Amino acid sequence: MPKKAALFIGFGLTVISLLVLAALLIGRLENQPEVTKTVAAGSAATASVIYSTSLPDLDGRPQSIGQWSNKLLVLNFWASWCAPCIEEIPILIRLQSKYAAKGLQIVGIAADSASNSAKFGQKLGINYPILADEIRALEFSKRTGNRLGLLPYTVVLTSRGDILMTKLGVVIESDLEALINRHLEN
Amino acid sequence: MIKQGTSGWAKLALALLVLCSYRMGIATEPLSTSSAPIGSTEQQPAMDDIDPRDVFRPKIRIRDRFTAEISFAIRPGFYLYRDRLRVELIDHTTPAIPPAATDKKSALAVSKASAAKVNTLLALSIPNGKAVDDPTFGRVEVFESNVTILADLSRFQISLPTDKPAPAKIKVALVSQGCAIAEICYPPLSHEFLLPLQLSTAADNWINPQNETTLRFGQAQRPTQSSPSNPSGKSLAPSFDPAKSLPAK
Repeated sequence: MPKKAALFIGFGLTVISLLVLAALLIGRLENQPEVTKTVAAGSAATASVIYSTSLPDLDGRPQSIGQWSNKLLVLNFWASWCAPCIEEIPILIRLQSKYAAKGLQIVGIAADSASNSAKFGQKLGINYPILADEIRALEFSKRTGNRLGLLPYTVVLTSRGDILMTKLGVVIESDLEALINRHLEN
Repeated sequence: MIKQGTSGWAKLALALLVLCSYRMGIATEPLSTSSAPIGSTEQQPAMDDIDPRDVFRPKIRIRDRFTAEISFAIRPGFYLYRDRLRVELIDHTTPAIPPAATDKKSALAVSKASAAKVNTLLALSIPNGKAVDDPTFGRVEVFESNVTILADLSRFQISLPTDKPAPAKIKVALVSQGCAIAEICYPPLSHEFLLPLQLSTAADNWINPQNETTLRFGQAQRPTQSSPSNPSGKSLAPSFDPAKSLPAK
């Protein structure tokens, strides 16, 4: 009987431990900000805002976002003073290299001076266009749903102007790649 | 047989308990990959619902005849970069010199005619922050909870509580930049204060920011426009030693 009791206790402890572990894992996930949204309503209006926006490139020449409307477009809002932004850029560089030929276009929108953006672009080896404007970049991000102008912020939209994702915070490479794959195949 | 089974269950249970403890341990660390934790363990908020003006709350007061004291309340789970703190002198008014000694109205008026439009930085005394290894910027110092900063006002005449006429005022902007531990950063924030240059005997003599506190997009690196990594780890604002501002005994 005591042996049985010990067996039950051991089994019970295992079950409890598993439950605690699961709760902790779930809790940890839930503690992260709710940052990824799928924008359905108003996508067309938001896409229209995006395509009609022009911002200066690193040479100061205005560039219309609409020039990439035939691509699967990833707009990544960042700044050199934003550590998590810098942290996620290598992910975007890899994805741009891998999927550019299939129709992906990543564009960096820097809430920063052109000189800082150029410096960081060079240092990090950014292989996609950078548009930079200290003030208008964040105003633009607000118009796409980033209410407080927080960074980093990423918007993905199809060549049909459907917004697939807006994400506040560092992108998860596997999630973004899966999304890109899914929509480049279609 | 049963004995062996019991022992096996006990070992498994023990291993899982250890694993749970480990999970609890790392759950207290930041989500960033910094080697030192940034921020606290409190529940993470939905970031896009939290206005930075509710997260970083400063107030200011005249501390003595040479310095202002700024108390910065920082909500748990967020942090400010030490090297991005600065105080800009935006404007100051000076009491009008009366055209005639009998003209009391003029004597008490605060004239903006002689106010100088300025935009210089006040020297600051900022305590050391918590040193963290930022994966991007290297070693930086941050403040995760309340911090008190002193600003050098020795260039101004600070009147005594009973002095008349009305004290001169200065308008300053406290510029800061911070992030949440959940790897999201706020744009630089500017809190503006209108500070009468007069000592106060009031129990609560703190002055809150004016309504025009704004998100100051960009401009995170003024005034030096140096690299944001600022590898020296020093504040971009000029510093001063408050002890040297005190009058000689």
